[in-house]
Amino acid sequence: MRSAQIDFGVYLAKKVGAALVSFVFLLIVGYVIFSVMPSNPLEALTRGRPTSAGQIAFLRQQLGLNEPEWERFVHFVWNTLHGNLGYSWQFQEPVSTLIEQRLWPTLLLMGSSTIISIWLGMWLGIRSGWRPGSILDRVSSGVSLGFWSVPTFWLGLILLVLFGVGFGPIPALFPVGGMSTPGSAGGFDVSHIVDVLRHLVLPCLTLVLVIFAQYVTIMRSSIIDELGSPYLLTARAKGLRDVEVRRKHVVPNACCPRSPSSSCSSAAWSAARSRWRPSTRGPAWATSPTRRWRSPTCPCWRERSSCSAPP
Amino acid sequence: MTLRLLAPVLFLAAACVLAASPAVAVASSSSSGSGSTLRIEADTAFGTFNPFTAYNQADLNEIAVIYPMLTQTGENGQPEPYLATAWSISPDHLTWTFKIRSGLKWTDGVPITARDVAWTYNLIMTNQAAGTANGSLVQNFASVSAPNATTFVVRTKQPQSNVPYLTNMIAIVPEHIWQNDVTDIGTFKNMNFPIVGYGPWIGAGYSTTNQDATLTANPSYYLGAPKFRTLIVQYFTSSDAAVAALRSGELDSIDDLTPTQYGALKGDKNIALYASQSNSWNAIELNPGARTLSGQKFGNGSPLLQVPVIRQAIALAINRSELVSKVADGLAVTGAGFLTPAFPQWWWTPSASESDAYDPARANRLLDAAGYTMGPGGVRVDPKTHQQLSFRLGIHSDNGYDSLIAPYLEEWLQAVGIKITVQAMSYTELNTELPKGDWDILMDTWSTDYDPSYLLSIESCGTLPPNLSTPGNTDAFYCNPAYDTLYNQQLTEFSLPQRTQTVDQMQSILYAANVDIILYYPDTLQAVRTDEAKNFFFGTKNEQGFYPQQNQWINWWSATPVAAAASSSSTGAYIGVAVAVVVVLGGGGFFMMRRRSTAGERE
Repeated sequence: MRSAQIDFGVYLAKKVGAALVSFVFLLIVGYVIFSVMPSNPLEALTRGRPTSAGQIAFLRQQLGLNEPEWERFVHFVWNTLHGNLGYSWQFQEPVSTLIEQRLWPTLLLMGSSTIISIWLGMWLGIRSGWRPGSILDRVSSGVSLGFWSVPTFWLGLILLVLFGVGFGPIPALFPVGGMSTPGSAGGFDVSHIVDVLRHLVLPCLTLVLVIFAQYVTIMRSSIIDELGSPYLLTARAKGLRDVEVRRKHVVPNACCPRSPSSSCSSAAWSAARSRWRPSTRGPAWATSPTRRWRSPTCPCWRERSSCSAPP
Repeated sequence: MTLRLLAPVLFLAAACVLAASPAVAVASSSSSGSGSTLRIEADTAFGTFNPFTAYNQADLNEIAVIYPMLTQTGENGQPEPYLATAWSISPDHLTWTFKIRSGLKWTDGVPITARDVAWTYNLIMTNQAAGTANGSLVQNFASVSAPNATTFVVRTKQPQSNVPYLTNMIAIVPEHIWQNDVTDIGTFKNMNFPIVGYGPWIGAGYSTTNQDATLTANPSYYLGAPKFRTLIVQYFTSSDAAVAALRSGELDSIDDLTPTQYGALKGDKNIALYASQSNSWNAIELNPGARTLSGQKFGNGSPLLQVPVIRQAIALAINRSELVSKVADGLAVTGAGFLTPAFPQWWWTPSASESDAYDPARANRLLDAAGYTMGPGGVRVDPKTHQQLSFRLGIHSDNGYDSLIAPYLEEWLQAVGIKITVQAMSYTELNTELPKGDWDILMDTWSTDYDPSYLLSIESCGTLPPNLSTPGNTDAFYCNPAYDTLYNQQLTEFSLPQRTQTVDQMQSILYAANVDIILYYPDTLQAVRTDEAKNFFFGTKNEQGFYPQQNQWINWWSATPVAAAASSSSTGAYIGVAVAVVVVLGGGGFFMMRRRSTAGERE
């Protein structure tokens, strides 16, 4: 027991040490890159504005530009370690405050677009892969890869024109600027929430259209890889409906070995929703004597790492 | 299974329909009703509403309408009364006396007195942090005082003619509110709403996530309350998104359109387009030799550009009129003098004998006469050093117009035997190279205010860097003692015609020096929704169709709501909802049919 504790302590110390080394390395690289970049903060701040020598001297002192480089680096490290990420002259606020103010809108936009992309991509990918060459497969693959190759900002502008301004018979449906209607009260009342959702539609749609293709492609190829597996034949022979074979056996086995973690997380989410049950027979890799998957409760993505596999 | 799988689709579609529904839009929008709110695009992002530290244009525009100044700039570009009803100068030209308007009150009811004015000016003069934004404007002020509630006195160190111009840039704040904020004035953002001030509008709110400021009309404003009850100024990071917002009715006015956007908005029956005379110019600057105040030379600029005849040949080789038509789509004035046409009192054009208008033949003759013979590759060679007349042209990689102009310059200069190598640099990089003197020719742009002193000052010897480690405010290392004499002279001339004459002479010197070759003055292009606001613009168009330079303060105050008419957009929205519903139901129906047709196969 004591030995295990010591082992863990050594392990922890190694990990923490490695993290510290990485952190220090990042601090140095971050500082050096910005130091060697051709920039003159004083020039950038004062160009075009009447500025006296006294004002320049004051700014120089305020920005710490009169300090030697090593001293500035020490201040930078010290401030970073104390959670002081600097001060934005553009917004005249601490950087940490700016990050904090923008965290929720970022989470809302990126979270919603990522979840929708994963769901939509997997939904289409599963069906496309199940019937490769079908109309749905050709359309979804073509459309998703088409959007994937489109620059996000350009697609955003097109959607702005189509649904924000209106074009031909399409009227203006969604607002084009801001996160909510300027001057609205805010808070958590229904009208404000709906207002935020209205403002979310176009940016979220833009991101979804551009990124859902990766989930379609990955899921489609994984499903296709599973199509020739013998356990499908077994399942069908036992009289399972086609849709059950796909949902309960192919999808769980297709998602794990090849998908990125986000897809797997999504698969787990889907699994929970659809009350996954174990497949009649595992996928090819699971048929090896040491990796048989029979646990009725173990989600597939954990099987390789920690789930026990009782015979 | 069908319903379960379709449920998310239907939910998303329903959410979209709900979000797009006009009923929800009206319920959730406080500003969609015409007649109550004027919505303007902000020029920049917002930073602070502290007038002592603000320099973002959006901040300055807001501060100008929530705090009073001693003077204001009228429609003719001249200083006019505001907080000061009149002003006079002593016979020795050192003491200015301003009579302060009586009976005005801050928005919290406390009377506005000369003491507030003196306190504000004193703070800027004595507190370095408070002088961040406007310290340089009061450099020549020896003292300020308020001998009584309606008199404010400025004593200057040297005679200074532009004091009434400077006083329209310094916002006066209420002493009883601000005296407690002095200790942290450098970081104080002044965002305790409603902001106690005095002006046509009252600062009422600011949204960080939306980047919009909300202002309400001040009913006790001495010229009368603005006609709109609320003013919203919103920042758009993309100007194209702002144009879309204007077209969709989310914005009522945009101030700074590109010629392309201006052209795209033509034909929209609800939008009126205005081109007003420019207060900025686009130019190229030629390095006449970087040096410090003491004459120490530095930088790697080509010494050939120190030769006046080469600079003149470059000026003659450039077809500025063609740049106006090809690059600016005709929405600009051909470049000439150093000051812009926005302010007619300072507008100068060269006489026929002075003119360096496009004449490549003359440029060639000048260079031939000076001995710069044509060498290999059609590039002239200096007879003494055998150096080619080959120069670097630094352009802003983040400015599309620079990239459009550069090929023209290459072609025109090649035609007179001068080779140009274009170097694209970011704005920051270019501005970093500039004070180091490591450049030959750079694209340059400046805008000016009503008083030209600052713009004229950047060509004076006094703005050269004091030493190698301290950058000066110089624009192009130009230094001419005759110009400096005139610069100091115009600062002490109190008669406008006399001062204009001196400023004209200065512009003539700059024009002949060809250190800054002004290419064109781009028009200020604006658009206003005519179904939301009228009386937004003022003045009469000139023969070229350009309005006078607009003052946003006046635009926002004079804008009048247009009576709300039956909106066609709501009809459109209902059509949109119907279309969305049809699409959703049709798609769902198709899916169900498809499922049914393959049911057997699935079984």
